[in-house]
Amino acid sequence: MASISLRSVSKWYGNVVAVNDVSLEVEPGITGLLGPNGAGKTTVLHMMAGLAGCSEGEIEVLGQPTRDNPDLYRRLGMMSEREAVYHFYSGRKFVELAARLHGLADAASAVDRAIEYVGLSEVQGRSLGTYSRGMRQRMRLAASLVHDPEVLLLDEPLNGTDPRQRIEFHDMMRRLASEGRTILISSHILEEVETVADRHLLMVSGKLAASGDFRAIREKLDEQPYKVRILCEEPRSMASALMRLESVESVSMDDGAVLVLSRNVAALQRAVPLTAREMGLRLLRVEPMDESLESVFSYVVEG
Amino acid sequence: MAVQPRGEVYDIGYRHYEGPREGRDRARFALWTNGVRTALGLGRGTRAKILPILLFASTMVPAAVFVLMASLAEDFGVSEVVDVPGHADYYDIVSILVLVFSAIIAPELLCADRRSQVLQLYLVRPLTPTDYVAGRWLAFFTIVLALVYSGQIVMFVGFTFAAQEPLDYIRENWLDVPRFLAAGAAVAVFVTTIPLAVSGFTARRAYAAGFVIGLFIISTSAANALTTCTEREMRIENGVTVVDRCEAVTGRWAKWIGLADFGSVPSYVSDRIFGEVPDSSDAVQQVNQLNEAIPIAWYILLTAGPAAILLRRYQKAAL
Amino acid sequence: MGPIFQLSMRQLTGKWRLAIIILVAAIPVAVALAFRITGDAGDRSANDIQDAARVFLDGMIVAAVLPIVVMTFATASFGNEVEDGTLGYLVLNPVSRWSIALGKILAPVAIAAPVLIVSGIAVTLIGLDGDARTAAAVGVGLFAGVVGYSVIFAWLGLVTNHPLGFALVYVFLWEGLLSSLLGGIRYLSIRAYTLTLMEGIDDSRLDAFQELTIELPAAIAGVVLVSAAFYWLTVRRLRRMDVP
Repeated sequence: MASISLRSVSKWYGNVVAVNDVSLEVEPGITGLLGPNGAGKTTVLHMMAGLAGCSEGEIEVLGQPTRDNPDLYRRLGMMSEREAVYHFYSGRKFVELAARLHGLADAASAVDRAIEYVGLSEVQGRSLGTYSRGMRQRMRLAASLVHDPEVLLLDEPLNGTDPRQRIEFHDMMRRLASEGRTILISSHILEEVETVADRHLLMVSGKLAASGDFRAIREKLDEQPYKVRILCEEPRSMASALMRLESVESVSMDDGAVLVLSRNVAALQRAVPLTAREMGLRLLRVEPMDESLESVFSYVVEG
Repeated sequence: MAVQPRGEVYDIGYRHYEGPREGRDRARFALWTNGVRTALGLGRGTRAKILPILLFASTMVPAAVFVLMASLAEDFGVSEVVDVPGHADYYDIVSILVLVFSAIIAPELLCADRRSQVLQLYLVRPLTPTDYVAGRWLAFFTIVLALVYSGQIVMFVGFTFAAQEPLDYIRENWLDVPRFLAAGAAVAVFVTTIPLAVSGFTARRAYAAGFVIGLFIISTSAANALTTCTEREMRIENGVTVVDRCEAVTGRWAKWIGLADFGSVPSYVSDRIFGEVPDSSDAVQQVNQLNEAIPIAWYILLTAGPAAILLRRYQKAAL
Repeated sequence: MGPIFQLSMRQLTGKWRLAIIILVAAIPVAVALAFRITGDAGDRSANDIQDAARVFLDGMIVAAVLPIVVMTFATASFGNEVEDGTLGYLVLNPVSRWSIALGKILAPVAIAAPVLIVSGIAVTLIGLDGDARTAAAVGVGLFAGVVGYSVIFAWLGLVTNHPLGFALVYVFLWEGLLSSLLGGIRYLSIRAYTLTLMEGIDDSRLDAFQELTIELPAAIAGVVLVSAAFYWLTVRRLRRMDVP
């Protein structure tokens, strides 16, 4: 059974749609939630954690509803994107607060374990205000796993970390996942999670654009015909020249513009300007017709 | 022969900004517009505009009431006998109202920037800390000024139309216009400076606003309690009560203690611009026994002092 | 509730903030003392005591220091968490929403009540020649006032970004201005509850607030109902809001 499941979930604020009809399932292991800024990743995570309600649809985590269900937090941990902490608390006090709020029987040893896990035992007595950004992030992570949750939601946990910290973080995640946990990590930077996650969910402008293994997503994308609208001088001769290209599936005319359908976008991108130059034509405008697909593409292919 | 190290920088199509660079004045102006917009809640949801609208409405109410009273007095033909409240009284009422609201709204301009630590982002522009503080101050000053003037303009127009001979009214009372302009500036300077100065000392809006409101309300009630008359001699002259003698609880100290009534400080200046002596409360009546220069000096101290503290605070913080 | 109460106490108290509220609460005492020293040495008439009750107890403490001190702390109780985006640390726990709200409401009560009650009782003893019963009346009244205001203002801190603005509008427009124009509003005014409780417990010295008070049972019911209602609203808001 999937640990997290969303069924046609939408969320809007006034007339702004943040999440648009998303259905997905997350299974034990590490899943990366990817997408550019403003794609709706944080909103989705907040809804999974019950911090926000959804306007439509259903969400279940471990088979339970998430909204207004505090008992679920015994099994769910969340680290939000907001980096604010109670700066007057020491790192240890901060983790202790979480442990006490979870009503852990042996709070002290749970706190010890969590802090050791993130490798901050030596600085646990210092106040959070004096921590570097990376240390603060790790201490926040310790607080969100002090109660040993089965499901861990991490919103942009790698913000502001350096490459070495990222490797340490990846190791930590793998260890946690090997114990059978479900970990969902969001990021707007592909490399941050590409190597550590087993599966990926790709969000673009509020919609789920792709999911699954990365290589599979790439291949699938190559099969998707991709529409480009080209405005140039002498569109008819341009059209016939483009027809000869291997990367082009079909060409049609639309109101003086050339509409090209292609399955190999990267090749098309290189070929269009070359063709125009050979023919001595000026390109006035090249625009992708399917913007969301284009951003998925630029995401996956260009990183 | 040594090998020439090779290296090249390619133009990758990064677009540089090629427009004109407009310099300090443009940056100051941007700071000012942004301050005005923040204070009024422009560009944000309706909820951010509730308080500014409430403020505007509450400053208009006394103006409308005064105009109504004037026109009633005219209708009953008693305008010569009854003392209808006018431009000077308006400031006595409105300065308190505006002060309460500026205590709430002024911290928006300084606290938020400190809280989210973006002050440095302003200072990497061609702006000095002084520019920053001055820009914020001017933005808020503009709003307060617009607020108190609009009430006065409503009143002047209202009084003119209420009069039997509108043109005669203007001829006889045109001096009220420069007076209320000057007095309004005096009131606005006062109610702008203190809340902003307090806001410079905390990053929490609530604490700044609470402190300012507490300062004014508590000092006013304490000052008035300490200057209450234990014995009073009054007479009634032309329907107006005139106090001849008031023996305050604190005796000869009372006139100095009266100065602690911070809420009445702007009226020391504004009422004198209208050629009247303020008499709104016991504390103010005690203060009137002092040399006339003292309340004026007190006003200057209470505006220049906080202004200097605020500037100093930001100049230091920027280092 | 324990950890949240402790956390809130830590958030709300600071050296400067405590010093300032103690100073503010000391002002009425200082004024009452000044009256005592400079006033006539002889016995004061009942009239003088009533005047003093109006000026010190109502004018300075109940209508000014009490709401201002409580609103500063109570609006910040949830307000700071919302402003900083730290509310998530509190709600992402298997703790009942009732106890989160309780911790957040009790912290401002625990800060404001002792300071205000000490100040109120000192004023009563110095300025009103009060006895133990008067002191008890003032203590109980102020405590009820602190609780009532704390619950309302804590809720405000959760529902708006301008809790203090609305708190001021409530205290000065609703309880101050409107309730003197429309008498019925007193039935929905913490200030009236506070004064009524004081008068109800010691009507020999504290019957100075005639037109500001309501019937004693109504005041008791009012404090309880208003506190319960806003406590419930706070919990409801915690359940339904989108936590930033």
